[in-house]
Amino acid sequence: MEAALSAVKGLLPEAVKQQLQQAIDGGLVPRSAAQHVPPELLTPEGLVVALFTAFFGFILLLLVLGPRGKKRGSTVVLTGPPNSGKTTLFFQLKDGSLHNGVVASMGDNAATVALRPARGAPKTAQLLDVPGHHSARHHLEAVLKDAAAIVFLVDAVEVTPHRTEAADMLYEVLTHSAVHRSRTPLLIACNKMDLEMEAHSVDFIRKTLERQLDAMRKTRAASIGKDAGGGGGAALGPAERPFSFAALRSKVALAPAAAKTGSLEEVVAFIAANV
Amino acid sequence: MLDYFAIFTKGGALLWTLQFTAALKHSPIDALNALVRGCLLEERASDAAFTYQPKTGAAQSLKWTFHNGLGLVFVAAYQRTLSLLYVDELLATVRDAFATEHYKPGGYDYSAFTRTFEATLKDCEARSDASRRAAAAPARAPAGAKGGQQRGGAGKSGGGAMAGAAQQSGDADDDADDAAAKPAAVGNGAGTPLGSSSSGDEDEGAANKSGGGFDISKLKAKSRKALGGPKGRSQVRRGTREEEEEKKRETASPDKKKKQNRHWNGGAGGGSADDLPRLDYSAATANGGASAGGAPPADAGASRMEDDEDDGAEWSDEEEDAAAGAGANGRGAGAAAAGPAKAKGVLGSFMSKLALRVAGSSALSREDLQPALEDMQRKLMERNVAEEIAVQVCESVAQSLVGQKLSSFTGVKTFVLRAFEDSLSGILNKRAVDVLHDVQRQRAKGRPYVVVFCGVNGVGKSTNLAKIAYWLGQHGLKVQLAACDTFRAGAVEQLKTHAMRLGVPLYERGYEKDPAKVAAEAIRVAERDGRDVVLVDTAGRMQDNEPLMRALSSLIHVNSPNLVLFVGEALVGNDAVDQLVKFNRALHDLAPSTATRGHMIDGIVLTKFDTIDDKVGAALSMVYASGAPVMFVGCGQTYVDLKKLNVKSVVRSLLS
Ligand SMILES: Nc1nc2c(ncn2[C@@H]2O[C@H](COP(=O)(O)OP(=O)(O)O)[C@@H](O)[C@H]2O)c(=O)[nH]1
Ligand SMILES: [Mg+2]
Repeated sequence: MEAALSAVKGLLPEAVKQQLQQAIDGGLVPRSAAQHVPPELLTPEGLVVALFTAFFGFILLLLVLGPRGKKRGSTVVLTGPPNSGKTTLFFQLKDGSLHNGVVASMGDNAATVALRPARGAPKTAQLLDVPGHHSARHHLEAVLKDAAAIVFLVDAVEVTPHRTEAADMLYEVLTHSAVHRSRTPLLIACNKMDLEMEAHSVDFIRKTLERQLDAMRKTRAASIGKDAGGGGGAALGPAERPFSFAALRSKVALAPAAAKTGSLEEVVAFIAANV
Repeated sequence: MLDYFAIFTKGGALLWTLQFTAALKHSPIDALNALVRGCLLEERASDAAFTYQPKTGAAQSLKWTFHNGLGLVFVAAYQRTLSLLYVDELLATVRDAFATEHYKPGGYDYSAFTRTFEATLKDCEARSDASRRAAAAPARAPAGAKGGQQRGGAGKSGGGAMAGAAQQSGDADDDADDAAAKPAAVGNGAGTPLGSSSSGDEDEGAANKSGGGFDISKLKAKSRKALGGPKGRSQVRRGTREEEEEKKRETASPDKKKKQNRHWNGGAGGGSADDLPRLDYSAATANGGASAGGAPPADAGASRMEDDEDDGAEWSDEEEDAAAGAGANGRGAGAAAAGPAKAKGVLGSFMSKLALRVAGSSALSREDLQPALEDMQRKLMERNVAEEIAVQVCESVAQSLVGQKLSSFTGVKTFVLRAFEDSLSGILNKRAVDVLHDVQRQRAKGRPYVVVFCGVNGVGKSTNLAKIAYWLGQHGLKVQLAACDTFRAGAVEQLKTHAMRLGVPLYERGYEKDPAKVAAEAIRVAERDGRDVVLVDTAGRMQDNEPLMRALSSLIHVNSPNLVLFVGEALVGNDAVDQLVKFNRALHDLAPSTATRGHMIDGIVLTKFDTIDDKVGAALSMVYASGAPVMFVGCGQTYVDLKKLNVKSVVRSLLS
């Protein structure tokens, strides 16, 4: 089984590889076993044998994963606190236009959009804009399971007054079991950078959020309901060092953005790189 | 007369808007955002109207209707003092006309709809005028048609004009926070537009003060209270509607001449770049942010204890599917929905209906849903949800479902069940005050963090106060108790026993003193002794006992605590609503001065949770009635029996 899985990894098309990787990250297979390529695979006979085992391994894998495995990891989820600009970003990416403007969202916006990153080939991505309101939290949890990548928007102008709220939501996303397990790539897009005078720098936002998450990691661990265990804390890196995005297992990057004016180079590049 | 009318998708994209009043003192976008966040997303869509209190200017009434098949929302706004009788009819007619003749999936230019709208408005006004005249003054000559015509003409003449007044005012952030703090200014005057920076600031202030979390629903609750509660208001609305309308008509009609039609999206070409600045409300946001956000944060951080780890972790398969389903319905991608099925002849329509039913994609009617809804309502009431609330929630969910299409092979029952799962989780998931974090902040200022516990008799106030003291103590905080139940014999001794067992100091002055003064002295002593937290026990009181409610209000007013917790037992049924509504109203209305008015219930302590099996309905009733989150759950007799609310398991119990 172990050899089969590693062989599958080497031989199957990209999409299947991704699923496999998720299965591995998802804890179906011990990571160490899956990553270690046995030397016999490097010989031609080994390859033939591996091909067979790979085939059966793949069938087995499909059985294990079930139909849901296919769906997983196909959408780019746009999330963040209310009013951070998710819906604006959605329409800017989808239509290159904001049409008549936006109001607070009650439901999702979903579309398949064509992306033209500055570098590399054009791509298509499935975008999903989820309302930031607390009543949609339950729904956010569900959609994060199928996220190929996450764009977390923060209002660069309002960081300070809304930092608890933003950090709260970011904490939820980072400690979400599927996000943590499959190390879903995450971009923190510091939006509304077009308001040059008012917007805070990406660096300031990074520090603000890191400080906030550091404190939350402590108080959450101390929070009532001891039975809960330290699952959330583990996702946020070693407790003895101050929290930093760089120390996380999953890829977390920050970038400036202006959904309204359409300066979204880094957001587009991030999405294109992760679909 | 109407102030404005808007059509937008559930996803939040504006499709068509029309503004009639040039001198509007608030941004329509602010009002729409408040409506969505404070009402529609809080499962209060069954309310008759939403009241939006702008920072300046008269209170607005907003009414709405949904087209769930297309995922559209239609909103009409007018001054609250005018009770326009035709708005419901207008909304329904406009919805049907827009959906059948104008809506194009993916279309954003609906300038052609303006004509249809104006004609419909004229019609509705004329009809309502005529019927009122016929009823109220049969002797007078009927002139309804004339009035309607006049209005229609005025509407057209201003069509397409675009004034900057409303666009300058207001940010796009949350609002209505001072709806309760300020007495409702009611006026008809055409004032000058608001400067752009002022409206942003108050929001920042509010958000800062409360430690970051703003809770619109609470604000909504406040404004409800200001109107005399949901019941009182609706009575007023029904009882005096006619006379009021009759009175207002006279004041309103001169306005007709001044009225102007204005599009938020210009005349044509809704998608062009020129239109963007007009809907740019961000300038105000930006200014507000700059003034409030200049200083970097000096605090340590945040925690949220209601956050149940279980919530973020594993989902059972059953839940997973349910969530996915709910995504497709309740909060689903409404904007992407296809157009309505068009019928072709009777037979054709029958056949296609049959086919659609087999394929499971016909639009749901109220009748289709009714059995499942009744089932749900019965279930909720069986689980001890207050009847009033079960009815309101069911109605609100129904409004979001009528017209939706079943995805293939989903039964109506399952569909409705999923919508309820989504809706109930939405109600129960509230952002709570961050106690540990706020205590740290307060400590940095060298002052104790003060928590007042209130509630009716015998619900377990003192016991759960002791549990919370224990919990705080476990996190290295120095706690002091204050015995301000100077009413019930034995209350002080009970607290003394707890204090001794917990090893924390107790401040008490026996029974004869004024509880507000005892609390004030306790806080002073705590500050002197360097305690971090003061937990104030108050006398249990029935919500109808006015002198005692006044005393509580005064205690809170005098001592301005950081947190007001309502302690209620999970056993309570229909009375839950009455208790919370009346406590909140007392805190608001009976405050000795209007300046500090409005420190209402911040959170709920739900006690005796271990005694109720699956009858968890009180959790829903209390949260819905107060807009406040359940912050602690008491579930046993020992100090460690204190938990966070597990939203998922409550929802499961409610619906299983
Ligand atoms: N100046 C500026 N405003 C923005 C930008 N992105 C969004 N906004 C504004 O922020 C507000 C909220 O946007 P919305 O997309 O509804 O946020 P959501 O709640 O996260 O979906 C709207 O008034 C937008 O016009 C941006 O990049 N720059
Ligand atoms: Mg949105």
